[in-house]
Amino acid sequence: MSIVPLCMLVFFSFADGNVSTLNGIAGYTVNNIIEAFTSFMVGKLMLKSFGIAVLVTLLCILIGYPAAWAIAKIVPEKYRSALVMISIIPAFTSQLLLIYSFMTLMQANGLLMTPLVKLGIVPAGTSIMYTNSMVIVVLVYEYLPYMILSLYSCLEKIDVNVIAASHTLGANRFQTFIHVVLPQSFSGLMTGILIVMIPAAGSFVEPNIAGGPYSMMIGNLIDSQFTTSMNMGYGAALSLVFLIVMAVTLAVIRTVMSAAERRIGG
Amino acid sequence: MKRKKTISSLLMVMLLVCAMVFTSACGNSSSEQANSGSKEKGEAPGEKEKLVVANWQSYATDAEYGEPAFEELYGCEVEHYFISSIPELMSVLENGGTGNIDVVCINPLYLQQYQNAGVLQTIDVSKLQNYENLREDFRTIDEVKDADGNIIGVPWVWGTTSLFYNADVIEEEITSWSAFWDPKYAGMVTLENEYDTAIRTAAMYIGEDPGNPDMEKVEGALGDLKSNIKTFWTSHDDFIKAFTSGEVAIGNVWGSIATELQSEGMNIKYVYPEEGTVGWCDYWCIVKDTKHEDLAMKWIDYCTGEQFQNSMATGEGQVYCPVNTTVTENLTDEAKQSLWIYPEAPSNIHLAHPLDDETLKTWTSAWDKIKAGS
Repeated sequence: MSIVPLCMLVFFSFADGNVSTLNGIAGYTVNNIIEAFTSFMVGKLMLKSFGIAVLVTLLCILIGYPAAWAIAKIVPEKYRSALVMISIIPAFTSQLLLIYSFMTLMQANGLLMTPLVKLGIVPAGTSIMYTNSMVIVVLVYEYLPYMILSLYSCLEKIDVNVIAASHTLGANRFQTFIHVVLPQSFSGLMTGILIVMIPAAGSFVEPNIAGGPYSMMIGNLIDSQFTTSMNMGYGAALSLVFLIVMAVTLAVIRTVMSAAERRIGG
Repeated sequence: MKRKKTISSLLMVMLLVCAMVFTSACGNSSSEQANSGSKEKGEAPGEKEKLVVANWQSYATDAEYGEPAFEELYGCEVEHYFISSIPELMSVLENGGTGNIDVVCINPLYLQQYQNAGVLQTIDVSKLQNYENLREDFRTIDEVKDADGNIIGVPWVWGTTSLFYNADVIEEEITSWSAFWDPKYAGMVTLENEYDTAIRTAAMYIGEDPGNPDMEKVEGALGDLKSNIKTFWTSHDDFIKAFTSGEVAIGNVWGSIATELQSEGMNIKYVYPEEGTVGWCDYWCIVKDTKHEDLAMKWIDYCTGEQFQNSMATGEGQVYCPVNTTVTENLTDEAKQSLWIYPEAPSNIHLAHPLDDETLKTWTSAWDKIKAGS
């Protein structure tokens, strides 16, 4: 079934201009695709969006691993499900609500900045609101639960005796992580990367609301084709090109990851 | 071990559910609304006649002085169909909305699109009691006339997107758009994320015709402005947040938002710069083949009448500039002040007007380029 929307996306990429439900498609053209592939602006925005997505994913991994490990192995078993629930509850809320509440926390004169200003650490009126950093922080906040969950599902299965054996045989913490924990949680890591990176790269709400004048991402360009420019054909073509680029990139990441998995696991 | 397996598979299921909830939350509910809008088909004899009005939510007509007052006056039922976006409304009207939605609020920017799609019908303005009393410059614009010169839209509310500044932060008096470009205000400026207003504002600043500026110059000016901008605001809430948190101190905003902030005690100034200002006016149109044309005419007459227009300009909460000139003249100075039309309404308003396909493309892609630029 999922092939149908995909086919529609390909089909509408060739539509000339806007698609009206009454008058249908004005004509067909390959210019949309050509422009999407050759435009410097599109390339730049895609690269930027991809960069932001990679950064968000890395931050999620960095925070997610210790968090998932703590939940899976350190806290007593009876608190585990409660902690898992706490970490995923934010994901049950509306995305917009999450962003707005987080902004309230981060804004100048907000909950976080006021004590910092009072303590004299930063001058009054400072905040990271409306910057690329803010967009990244918001995205990490939004997608972290998914990373924690997918890592947790793997880490939880690791036998503590294997870790103990690794230590007994002389491996330090880092070696244990690389040779014992990482190989056994690879599938979860891969799932986490997929679940976080793809939507993060296509974000448009976060840069719109929390971002500044230099925060535009490829998702915003696609969004504007449907909402203001009224050029759905080009919007569809942009989505298609971005889909292809993301698919290729993820295939590369997957290959690299499994190569790495074979090396350290073997 | 078995228990652990169950937990982990449960977790995977939850993860999937989360992902699904998340993605569906990101989508919009326009299709649901579209369905509810087309559910009603005619009414059984003896039932009250029902008028379906398409308008934006919390936009005067769903207030106490709007829908309920009209229902009582004419013993009918009014149902609001809340517009969530222009493309969505267009598609509803083109599909099933025709025949269900009777009256629709449209901005002249899109009037011709609706007219070309054949979803509107002409309005016999001689049957409207209040029509002659409405601001002449607004009711005679070209966009509200069809090819034969018949009227297809009646103005009912107008406003401006003009210059605001926070007088607590900016002490000097600002009278020109050039303040946006002043290095003094770097990082304090906010602009509405809207190509039309932005381009025409920049055109006024550089002395070009706001309706047809030299786009190269406009792009240059807006490019220069970017380093002064803190954020582009996209919605009412978005603006309020940026202003009240002190993140921005000057920029452009709708008059109604400035009124709201002022009434909440904020020291906000809203001025019409000497170069002119950008304005808008919304119109009522009747949907083609409506079964309730008479009631639709009564609705339009009611919404442009003195009672409604006066309540709209002076009521609780958000207030709007009346199109009815009698109402405007009789407003108290206080009411005029809160609408930013004291001592009188600005005369050099550049009303948003529709662009031909070619210009639209140039303007929107210029705006995209400006925002994507570094």
